[in-house]
Amino acid sequence: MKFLINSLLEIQSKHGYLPKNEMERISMEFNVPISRIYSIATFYNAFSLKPVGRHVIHVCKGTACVMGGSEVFEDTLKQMGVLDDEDFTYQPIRCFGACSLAPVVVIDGKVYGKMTVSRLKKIVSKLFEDESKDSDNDKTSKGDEDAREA
Amino acid sequence: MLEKLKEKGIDELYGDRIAVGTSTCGIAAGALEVLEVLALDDTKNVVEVGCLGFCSAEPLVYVQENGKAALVYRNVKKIEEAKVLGWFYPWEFSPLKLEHPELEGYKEYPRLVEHPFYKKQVKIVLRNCGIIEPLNISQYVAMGGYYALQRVLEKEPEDVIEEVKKSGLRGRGGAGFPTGLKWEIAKKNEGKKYVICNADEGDPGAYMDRSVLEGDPFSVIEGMTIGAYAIGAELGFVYVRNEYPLAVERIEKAIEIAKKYGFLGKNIMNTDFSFDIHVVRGAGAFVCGEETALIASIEGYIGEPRIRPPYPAEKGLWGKPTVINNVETWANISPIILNGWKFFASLGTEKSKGTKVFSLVGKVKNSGLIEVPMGISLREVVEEIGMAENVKAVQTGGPTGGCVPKNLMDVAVDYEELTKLGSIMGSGGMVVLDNTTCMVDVAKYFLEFSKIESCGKCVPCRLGLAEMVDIIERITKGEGSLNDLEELERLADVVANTSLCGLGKTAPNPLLTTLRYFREEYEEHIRGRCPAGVCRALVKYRIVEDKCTGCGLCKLNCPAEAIEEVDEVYKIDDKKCIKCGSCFNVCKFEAVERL
Repeated sequence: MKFLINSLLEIQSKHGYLPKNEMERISMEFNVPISRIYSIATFYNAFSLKPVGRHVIHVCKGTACVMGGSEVFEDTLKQMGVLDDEDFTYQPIRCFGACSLAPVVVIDGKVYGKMTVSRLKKIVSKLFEDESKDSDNDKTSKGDEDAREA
Repeated sequence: MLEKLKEKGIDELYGDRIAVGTSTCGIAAGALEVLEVLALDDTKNVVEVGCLGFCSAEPLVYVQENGKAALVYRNVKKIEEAKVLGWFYPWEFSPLKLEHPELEGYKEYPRLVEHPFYKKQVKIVLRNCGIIEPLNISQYVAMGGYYALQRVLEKEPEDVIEEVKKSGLRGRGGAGFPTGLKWEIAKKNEGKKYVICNADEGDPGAYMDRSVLEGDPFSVIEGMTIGAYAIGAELGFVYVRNEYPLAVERIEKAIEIAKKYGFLGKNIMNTDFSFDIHVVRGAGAFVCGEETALIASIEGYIGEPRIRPPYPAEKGLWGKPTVINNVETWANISPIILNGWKFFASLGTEKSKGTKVFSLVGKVKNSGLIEVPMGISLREVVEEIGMAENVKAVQTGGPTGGCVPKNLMDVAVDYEELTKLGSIMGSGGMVVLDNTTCMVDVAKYFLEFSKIESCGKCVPCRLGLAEMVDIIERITKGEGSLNDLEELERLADVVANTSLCGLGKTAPNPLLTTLRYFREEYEEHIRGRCPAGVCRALVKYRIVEDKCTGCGLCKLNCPAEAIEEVDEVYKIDDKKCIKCGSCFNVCKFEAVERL
């Protein structure tokens, strides 16, 4: 048995978003109008219509986490320049079900319990460093190629 | 076949083993790192189990060796250095009569059942969680699993329904509809039938469904199979939150295993009865916990609730009679069948029978999942089990529940009594609040939640909640007036009475209960002061030079880079300060003042 939402979730996790051609394919496969696929894609929080960044940061905004002060992490990320771009995606999420470890932040799938601002700053700066290293590496390897070509 | 599995299970369960709790909460606390180290010693039998419930003591590891009972270590980083929490017999939490070899106890350590966290608990739903390896069907059978199904398959479906009816079991998802009655209605209706397990546990602060699916998935599958036999369904669905990847994985695997052993699929346990289960994942919409919205979602639509009646038991999935019960309800079924309805009905209050699982979190010393008999007082739960001090209120029932103030905490926990106080049982979230919590801020948080999660179908819910959020935001900024309170009450009344589904009907609860029990806090905000010092627009922070030791912890923890070092002490730049209170919370010398 195939379910529309399961199939869309698979596409979402494969690509990090729902590409238009995939949505059209699902529309044909399930024989439902594309408008309904679009309504589902925009109704449920799990779907996005644009690609997510290389690093995904979730701040839990469940009751126990907010009462434990998780809102300040959003400010921290904003201040650090974590924007929705190709490097980073920030998404608040409603409860991971790890409430006794509140406040919880999930970075690239790893759950960090009892988070503090200073710890978050450390982890995110590390990600920034890695990103800039990667882009440096890209440049050097490109430079090497240029040199070779010359 | 059951006897053979049982024998194998008993050998494994009561033999030498070191068990690490690796549910989501355990993993987040570092259980996998502990597991990795323990597994290096290949002379030992190291296994993964679900959650014993005591989340604030995680990672939990227990050692069972040389014919002795299980010795539990708490907050384990290195097992040699970890503290002992207590010891237990692996069978003693289960209400079922189990065969087991005798194990020797410990004299030098306390028993786990005497620990304040476990003393008042009665485990039916959580009977196997943290005891068995979740995907080990022999161990499940050794703990009494599938004997209920075997017995049921020899009975008439009507007798099964009668047994569940007499037990007094009511739906554990929140509404509390009698389960047996629901089954009876579905049975009476003609045509193809379905059963559904609602595992779309969207309530922030509640995670019992996740824990049961991760720690004891067969108990849910067995319960659903019994339900399907009783009403005459051949197909079932588990609708589980996508945010719970481990729970999805476990239930999917457990279904495959049950099929392999003939407990699911064609001709179950060599009878004529056939039943199959599919897993459907939710996609992150709180409203899909409402049964008709959930059904719409399985059918491949957006999760908008439908008008009831007809109820799903009459016309549900694809228009067919459908029994939809919560994870916890399903997990209750096989103990009811095995121990008989009288056992279940002897627990609890007149109208609410059995036990209820709560996730006790917030400002408590002992946090985690607890299962207690219905009718226990809220005070016992919070102060004796949770060992909370300085409680201000307890928020029950998830985002659309209410806040019960300290002086009313002697209330008995059951469906009716909590409703009388303006709160609800809900799915069992319990968040303890203390004096550092602002009740207006709490109400704002929940209203915002409901506003975002409202599906938008009913105008009062969609627009009414948005209007209420606007007003309460104004109050938290100190710009409210006394008229606003009346307006809020009026809007709450309209939203609650004119919305279609449970979300809109109960969304005003947090506002109404805080207004009822903490009205003076609202009035203080209107006068321009937040008593708990939470609302950002109404506070200001300053560092007292004489007390500042120059340690710099505040600067490290400032999200806004608003703290600068000037002559070996620190100063807050008011222009940059976002008034989050981080510095106030981290300063060890009380050098940060809140004005």
